[in-house]
Amino acid sequence: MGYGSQSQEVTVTAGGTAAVEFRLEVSAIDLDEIVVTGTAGAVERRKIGVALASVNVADISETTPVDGFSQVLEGRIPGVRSIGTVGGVGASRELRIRGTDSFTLGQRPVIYIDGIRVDQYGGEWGGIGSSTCCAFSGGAGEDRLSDLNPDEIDRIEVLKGPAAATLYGSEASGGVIQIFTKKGRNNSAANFSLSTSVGFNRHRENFPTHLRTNFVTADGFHPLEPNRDLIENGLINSYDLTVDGGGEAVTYFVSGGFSYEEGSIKPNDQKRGNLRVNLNWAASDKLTIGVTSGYSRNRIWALQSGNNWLGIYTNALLSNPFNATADEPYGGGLDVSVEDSKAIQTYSDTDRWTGSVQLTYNARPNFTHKATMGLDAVNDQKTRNLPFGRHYTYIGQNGERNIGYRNVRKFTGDYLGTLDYENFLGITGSFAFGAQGYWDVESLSMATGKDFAGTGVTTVGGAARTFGDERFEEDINIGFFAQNRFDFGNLFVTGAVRMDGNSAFGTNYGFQVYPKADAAYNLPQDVLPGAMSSLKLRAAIGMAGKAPGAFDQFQTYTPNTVLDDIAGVSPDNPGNDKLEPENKLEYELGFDMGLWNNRVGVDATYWHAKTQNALLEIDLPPSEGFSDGQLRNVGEILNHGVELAVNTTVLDRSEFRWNVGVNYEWNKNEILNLGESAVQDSLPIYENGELVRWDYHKRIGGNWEGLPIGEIITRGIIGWDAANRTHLRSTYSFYQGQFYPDQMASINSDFSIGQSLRLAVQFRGEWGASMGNSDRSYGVRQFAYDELLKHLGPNGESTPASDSVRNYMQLVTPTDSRDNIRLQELSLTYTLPETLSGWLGLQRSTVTLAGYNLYWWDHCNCPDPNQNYQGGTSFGNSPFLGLPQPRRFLLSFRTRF
Amino acid sequence: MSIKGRRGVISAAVLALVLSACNDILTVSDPQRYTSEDLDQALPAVANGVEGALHEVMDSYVIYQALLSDVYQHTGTWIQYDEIDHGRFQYGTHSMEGVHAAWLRTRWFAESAEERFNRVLGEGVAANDPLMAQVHLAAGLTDLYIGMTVCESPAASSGPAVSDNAILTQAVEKLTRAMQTASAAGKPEYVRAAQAGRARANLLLGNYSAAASDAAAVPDAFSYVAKFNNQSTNSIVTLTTANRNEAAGLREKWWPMIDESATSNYMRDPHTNEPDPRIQVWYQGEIATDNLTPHYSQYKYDTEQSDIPMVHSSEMRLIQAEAMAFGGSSDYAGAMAIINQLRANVGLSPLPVPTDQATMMDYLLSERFAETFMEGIRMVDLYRFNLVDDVFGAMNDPERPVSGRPTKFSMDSGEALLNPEIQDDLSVRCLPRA
Repeated sequence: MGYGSQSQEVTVTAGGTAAVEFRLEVSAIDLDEIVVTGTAGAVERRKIGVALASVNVADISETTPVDGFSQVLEGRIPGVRSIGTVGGVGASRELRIRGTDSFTLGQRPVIYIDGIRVDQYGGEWGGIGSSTCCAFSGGAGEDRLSDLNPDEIDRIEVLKGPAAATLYGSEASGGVIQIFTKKGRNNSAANFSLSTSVGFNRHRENFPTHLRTNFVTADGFHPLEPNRDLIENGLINSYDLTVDGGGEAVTYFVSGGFSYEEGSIKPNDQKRGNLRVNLNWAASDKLTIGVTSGYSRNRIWALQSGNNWLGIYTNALLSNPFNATADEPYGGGLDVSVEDSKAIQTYSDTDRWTGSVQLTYNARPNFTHKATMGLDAVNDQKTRNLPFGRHYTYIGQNGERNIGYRNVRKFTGDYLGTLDYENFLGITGSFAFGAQGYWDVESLSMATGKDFAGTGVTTVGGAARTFGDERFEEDINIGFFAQNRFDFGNLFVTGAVRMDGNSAFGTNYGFQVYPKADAAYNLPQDVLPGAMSSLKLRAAIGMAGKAPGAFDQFQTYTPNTVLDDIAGVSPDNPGNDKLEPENKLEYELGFDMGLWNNRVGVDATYWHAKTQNALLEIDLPPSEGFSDGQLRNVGEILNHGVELAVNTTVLDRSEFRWNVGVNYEWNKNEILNLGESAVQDSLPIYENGELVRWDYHKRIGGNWEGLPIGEIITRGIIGWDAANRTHLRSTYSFYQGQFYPDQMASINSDFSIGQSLRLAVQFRGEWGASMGNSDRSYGVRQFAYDELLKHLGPNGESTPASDSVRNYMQLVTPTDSRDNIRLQELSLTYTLPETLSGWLGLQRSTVTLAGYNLYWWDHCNCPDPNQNYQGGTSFGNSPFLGLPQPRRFLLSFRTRF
Repeated sequence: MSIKGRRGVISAAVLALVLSACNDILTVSDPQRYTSEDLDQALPAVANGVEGALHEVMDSYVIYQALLSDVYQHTGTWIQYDEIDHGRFQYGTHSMEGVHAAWLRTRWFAESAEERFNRVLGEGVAANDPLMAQVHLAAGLTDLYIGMTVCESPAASSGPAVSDNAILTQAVEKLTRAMQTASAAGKPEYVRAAQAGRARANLLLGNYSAAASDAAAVPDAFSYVAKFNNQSTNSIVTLTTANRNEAAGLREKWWPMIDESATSNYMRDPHTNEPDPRIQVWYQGEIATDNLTPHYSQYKYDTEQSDIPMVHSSEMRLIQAEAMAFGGSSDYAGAMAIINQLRANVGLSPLPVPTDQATMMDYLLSERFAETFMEGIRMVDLYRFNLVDDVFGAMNDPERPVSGRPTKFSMDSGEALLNPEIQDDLSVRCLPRA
């Protein structure tokens, strides 16, 4: 919710002054808002024909302590899924827009900060020889988006798909997120802002191990119970100080921040420091120079969790309480004690600088040149130390040390020319043209030392066996674009085209062309029905792409070590010199409507996107040699859906104001075509344990035409064989669900009492996704979970019921629903009386008590239906002990002076 | 800005556009992998890669064969191990598929290497080159292991599935070719390895005289091993051995036979109760990774770099003994002379010459168990002598019923799915069962 723009005519005599009074009118829709993302140059929202979402972070943080970039996007924009999937502090998160649009390429949108593409990696490091290292912390990895300090962010604009993101070319088919950092204002005195928070993380005590307290081992030992003994309060503490202002020609924004956060299962913490200086200098009436410079230091002690023998949570939960001893009080876990897991030191230590220079030259009032150049430089060092003398399953007892360096350089260069014209041949509009290039280099080097002689030495070189490996990727893209918008009164029609060349395209493939068109029609006030105060109809169609991996086009053989440590090679990638980008053609239809003087804003969109030339890994028969499949542009994927956002001021009295926003999204994903290499196959349909018929589909690997990407097809239990006391498992695998939810909704409610109290609540829900709940299978098979323990006799002896449960979990991985409704945010903000803050020498000052991820309702037989051990970039089937998100409680103080 | 200045901006922009249109700017190269052209200058690495590819899956092969036989039981958390141990798997759902697929890739790589050597070296030179001998040996042994393990397989790239005996017959042909090439190249160790492999292939085909003849040509103390190194480690150790991930251990039936005295840690000979140093085991009262089962560990392989014997002279002696006993002449005395010599080599008392076939078979099998312990041979014996019913029947384990238990693995379903000559259909693919 915001305030609408208003106008009044007033006559001012020469040298005189005039006073005009406005009463701020609440507005749920603002078609005069200026946006810059997705269109060449700044433009009012009413002139664009696409659904463009924006989040005003500065406004949100006034009432809600925001301590992470991804948290800002949670439940605020329909079509954008931003959720925590792994509970460790600093761990990777899911961030995806409008579903799954690729079989093989990443799903994260491309992210810009002040016009510069930035590293948004979230996951473990891949492509390194397995002897050299590992998944450092169990599959989730750290999230480079956690480097960002939300207190530096002014607003975020989100393009949800190709219809809006065409001008971003060969990496924009998954959407674009543009982050704008804060700037100073001209002729403004220094304005200081201080915010500080203190609080704690704490897991909900719903781990499935409560019944362990009922049992005592044969030796009389009382086993530890994770809910009671593993969960702790994890301290949160943060400080941010900013100052902004400006004179006639120069504006500035300077900020510094530090945050410290511990996980609820320890050791796990994150220390982050951020510095930023943004300057803007109007060098002349035509030339403006802007400089942004942001530095962050982010040191994460990563939590060992997930699909990982070394996980703390893993070993605590999968311990058999009847094996508990004083040395292994939980019961031993996966042959690693919790104490030994906790002794592992796992760090990610990142230095990052992101900066840009922006030159804007107004050659004429209607002709502007804008050039932007910038760099995102990330140096990430990871270390893992498994101390000598402790026991780590396959690693043994002699210790291991892993170190790794990941260096990323992303250079962006961008030129935009904008020519506005009026009555040119009778037509008014705006023409823009430009070019954009980027050059990405990522290098990764790692070393491992295995087998130490004793304690005291923890450097790689001190180990008896050492290993090293490197990985390198380089990707260069050059794109040109032109756009023209015609203004026909209330109708705005835009056409544009972008042409890209990319180093990852096959050598026999040339440039890729991406066209787009959109139209926005703002209905005149006089034709609108009584209650309707504004209505914009919009339609857009556009194409954007996703480039293949940097070296996917080459046929390659991997060097390896064979026989007596000598050099060998093995065939891996068959290559494809005709590789093209994946192209996604999307159209969308929608409207932005204001009702009752814009007290209610409705934003509705139907979108339909087809990924063409989707890259599929076409496996070759093993007898044809190459271990990798051949990437070919053969697939077609359909995503379509409906997005609805309704914002309204339910109550607007002088002492009470209640704003409510409802977001809803429905989406459907379907594989349309897998190309000529797909083979005909069949899926059985079981009813009441009987195979009643077959459905026929073409398939390649785990992808089936007519089904969504990311489906669960596995064998299930179809009955009970009483004679042999065993469950009956289906002979064939059958369809049991999909990974990704097809419905998401959120409600944001904001209730103010007077000027001093404000209560904000967010609920959000997801429906339609399932998981292969392997945790249950492991937990039962390991004699660890309540699901089995509740059927055991008083001394732990097996019963027919416990045998039945074990038998079930030996035969299948059960499929459980990920449906859930979650109380995501609850915050109460108190604004100090002006007399008090004034007495203290302060301006507006607030105190906020907030809670996040407080409670959720589900029926997934798991601690958290959002659990996913691989973290953000690979949301999929398996929770695999990926530690649920903790609840967060914060007390914040924010003031200006 | 002056007109001159504007021209400067425009010129710079045009120059940038022209430069950016240049193709070279969009050219990158992958420094971490070889191209096919690179390999023409690296022929030894190609030959080593072929042989190494055969070796590197031997550890997985041994584990899966041990789980399907009466050697190992699952003691960890992996349902894939559990399925094989309990004999619950079917076509398309077992982990030996990956090993079969790796062998098929190795065979393709061997054929591609042969073409490369002929092209780069010339056919005349290549035919007598040690690298060609190395590749021919690996190709022959690959077919031998495919025939030992799965009930059917394509005999050539994207070819139709043929029976295990057809693959073994092809192995005999390829190993014969390997012997010829190795001989011409002056590589006697390859000749012996190929001949030892051919001896086993002939044995499995029931060609006792050819098997005995080949076996006799392999001298004592010869061994050809799958080599493991610092990068390619032996997962029998990392995944199933004491103080590592104890995901599989010796079956419960062997526990009473394990000498737990501090000095030996050997399994006892079933006939004399003497500790047999060929069967090195380990038990310290540990509970395995499944949180339940005592872990009785193999200890024949004790480091990640421990090599796994593939063919060796003691197995050859036992092939000779088997041919004497069961090749038509029933020469039990001759067979026992060989067996007792092998026993004497490790300090075990001799066994008497049996008077009946069953006892002779018992002695032969127990010697083969000891000499080829954890080499993936036991399951081959249970299959070829049709012993799965007896062995698992004697275990009388309700969780491991005999009826319906697979006695050999089915082929890789990925090959069947993608190979147009093979039908990916559970109902037509073979999977022998008890």
